[in-house]
Amino acid sequence: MGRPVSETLSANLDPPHSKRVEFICLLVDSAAIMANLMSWYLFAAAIVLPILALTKFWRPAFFPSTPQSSYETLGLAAIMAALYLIVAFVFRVLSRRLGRNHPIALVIVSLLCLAAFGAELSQFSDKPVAEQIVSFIWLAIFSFFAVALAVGAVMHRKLRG
Amino acid sequence: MDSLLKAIQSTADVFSAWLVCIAHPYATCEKFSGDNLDDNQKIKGALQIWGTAFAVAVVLQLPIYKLFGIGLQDVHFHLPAILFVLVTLFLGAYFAHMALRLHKIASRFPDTLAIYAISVGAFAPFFTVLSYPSTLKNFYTVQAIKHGGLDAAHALAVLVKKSAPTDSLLDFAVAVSSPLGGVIGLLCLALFANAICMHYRAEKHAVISAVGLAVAILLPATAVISLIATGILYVAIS
Repeated sequence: MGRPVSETLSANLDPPHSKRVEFICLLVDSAAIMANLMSWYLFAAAIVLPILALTKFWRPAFFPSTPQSSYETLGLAAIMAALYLIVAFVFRVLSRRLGRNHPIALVIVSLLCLAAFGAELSQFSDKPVAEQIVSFIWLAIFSFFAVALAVGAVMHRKLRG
Repeated sequence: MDSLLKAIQSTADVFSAWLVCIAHPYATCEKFSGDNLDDNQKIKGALQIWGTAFAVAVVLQLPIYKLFGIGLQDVHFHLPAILFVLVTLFLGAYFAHMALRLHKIASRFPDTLAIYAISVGAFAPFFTVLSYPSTLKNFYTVQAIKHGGLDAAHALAVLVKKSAPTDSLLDFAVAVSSPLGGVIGLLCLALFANAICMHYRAEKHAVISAVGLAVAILLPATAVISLIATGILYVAIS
């Protein structure tokens, strides 16, 4: 289903985008892939969790540290699974919107990155020096993605082109 | 003398082809997955680029191998390692191909393999450098297991927790390099998704969903392959 090389080259390999736009495009796509990957694992967890809880009915010895009854464990697992499903659905929608360079999705994920940045920064001063350096790497990554996605939201028309 | 010059020339050729691939990944993807090549040529060309990247990665890892008593002559270690990396490459491409088909994108395996090998495999040396600390930690852990004479269950527990005593500086280096490696890995996947979009003229969100699904399946499979590879390392390490 591939198209002729010459056509593709002229259409895509010499794009009207600048290198900066291409790089922002790559960052937006990588955020979309990450969101999509997380949604698949959350879906998997939502399926596995109730199945694991069900095993308590005939193998209670596998759960020595859970004080709840089998029904309570199943109920908790069902609630957790429902939560996982909701979050997975949200990630999936975000991933689709990011894939289409939707500006609102870009702003939302940028804000999520900023929130992660803030959470990391709030614990920064309490950590020993070695952990602060590791924390600094995470801060750099979160801020980098937050800025790139915000810039992507501003120039979303260019990204689509 | 002629054969030496030819060897140097061919090494220079494959090395420059790899460097061009790093500099212009999209153009290289199209070059090796275009309609003017048959399936054999596509796979061969892509594997040549990937093979060069893999050889560079192995050269970069040689000091670590030497540190743990594994030389170039230890074929019982290197041959399975090559096999495992090849299997991982083919599995990644196959999962991507199946996921693309599932998302109603008319993927062709040789094309997808060529694009995957170039856009993800060609950047292997960068991952190798970034994964130096975790590779060292893994080697120390396996060495500790071997010298401690642990039984299989205990060894597996140590391996999963990586709880063998190591230098705290190494733990710090692992903590610093891991997120950077993750970001570069994601960028490579985004590159792969873009190249697939261009090649099959597919919708970006469908390709991203397919790539996400493929990676979600590949990661547990890679964990199993790594565990088997660790068994080989256990035998080879001194």
